[in-house]
Amino acid sequence: MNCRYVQSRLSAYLDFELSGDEQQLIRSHLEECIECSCEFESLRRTKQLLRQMPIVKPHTGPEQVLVRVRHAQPAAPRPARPAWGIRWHPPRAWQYASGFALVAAILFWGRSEDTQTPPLTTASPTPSYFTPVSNPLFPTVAPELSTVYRPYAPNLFRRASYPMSEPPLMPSVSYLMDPMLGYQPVSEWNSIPSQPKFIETPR
Amino acid sequence: MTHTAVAQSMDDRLQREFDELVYRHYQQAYNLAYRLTGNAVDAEDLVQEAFLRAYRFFERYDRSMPFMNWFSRILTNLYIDEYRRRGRLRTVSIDEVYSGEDGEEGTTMDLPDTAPNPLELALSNEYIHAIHEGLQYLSPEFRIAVVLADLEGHSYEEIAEITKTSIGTVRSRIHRGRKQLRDQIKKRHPNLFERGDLK
Repeated sequence: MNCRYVQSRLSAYLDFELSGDEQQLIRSHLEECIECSCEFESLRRTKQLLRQMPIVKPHTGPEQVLVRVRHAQPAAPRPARPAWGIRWHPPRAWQYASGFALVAAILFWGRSEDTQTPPLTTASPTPSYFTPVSNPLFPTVAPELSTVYRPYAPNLFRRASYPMSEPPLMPSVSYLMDPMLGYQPVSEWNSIPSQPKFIETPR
Repeated sequence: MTHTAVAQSMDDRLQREFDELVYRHYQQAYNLAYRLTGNAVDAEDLVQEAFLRAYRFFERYDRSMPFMNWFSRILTNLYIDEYRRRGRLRTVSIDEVYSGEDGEEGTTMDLPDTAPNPLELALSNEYIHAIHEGLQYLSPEFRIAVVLADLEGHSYEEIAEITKTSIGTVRSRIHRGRKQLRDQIKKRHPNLFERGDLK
């Protein structure tokens, strides 16, 4: 318990507005620390002075207030507040427009002139180079298996594919490749030492 | 009994209740207003305005709350509004000789008389003025917190309710307000702190 903390709470301590533990801690600190107890004494004195301030008596009585009150009208009753404190109002023009635009965006996302899709009668699964559009709002599940007609659009999120027989020129995760070991199957990743081993040799 | 007659008797009952509350709390309300505004004229205006507003919104008064807590909220809000409207509260020196608007000159501030209470004999008028003027140096938020705590004797929780702030805010306002007030009083009357202050 440091002095800064104690001094920030001296008024609350003075007013018995702290928890019992805190009250006790500050009391024990004040017994030890002369600086804090000086500060406390001066605050106590200030409060004492304020409490001794006399009550002032007004020149006029409450009658004047009542005279004024007689001529006053009570305020209109509080208007009913709708739920959640929100004042609803009919939509403005821009709100109609933005709502319409949002619906249109969802419905027509990625649609374009259809020139490349095979005719509807095709029963075979769509080839992978005709990757269907995936709408971020309604992602397609297993698009290759789907026979549902989907217009063509380039898929920007498509993973780059390559023939599995030859590895890519640059591995995507460099530390998995050990120059001595080459590529390792996933099952053996744990056995690859991450640090080169040094062999202790006698001098 | 017709509908209007019921409403009328209802109004009468509220009116009587309000009158009684005004009679009971006028003195305390005036005292609070006087300590906030610092002079009798503004205090009377403030009290009247506050009671007027209290009357207009009396239907919304929640009876589970002490009247003075509810009324203090109205009064302090009005005071802060007035303070902000004026930009800065004009400070009135008690001893200053000022000229009235209608040409009368040489009158001094008309101070309300203080109650002769044996407990207060310890504080001479000079000290009382020093403390009173020290209070006027505080910013309105600090002054309200200090006055409500030390002159009106409210708890921190009640003050938080009156000023619609958190207890932490109340605590820091009271603490900083008291420290500023102490420094102000100490400047003029260091002897008031001699006994307790070892520094």
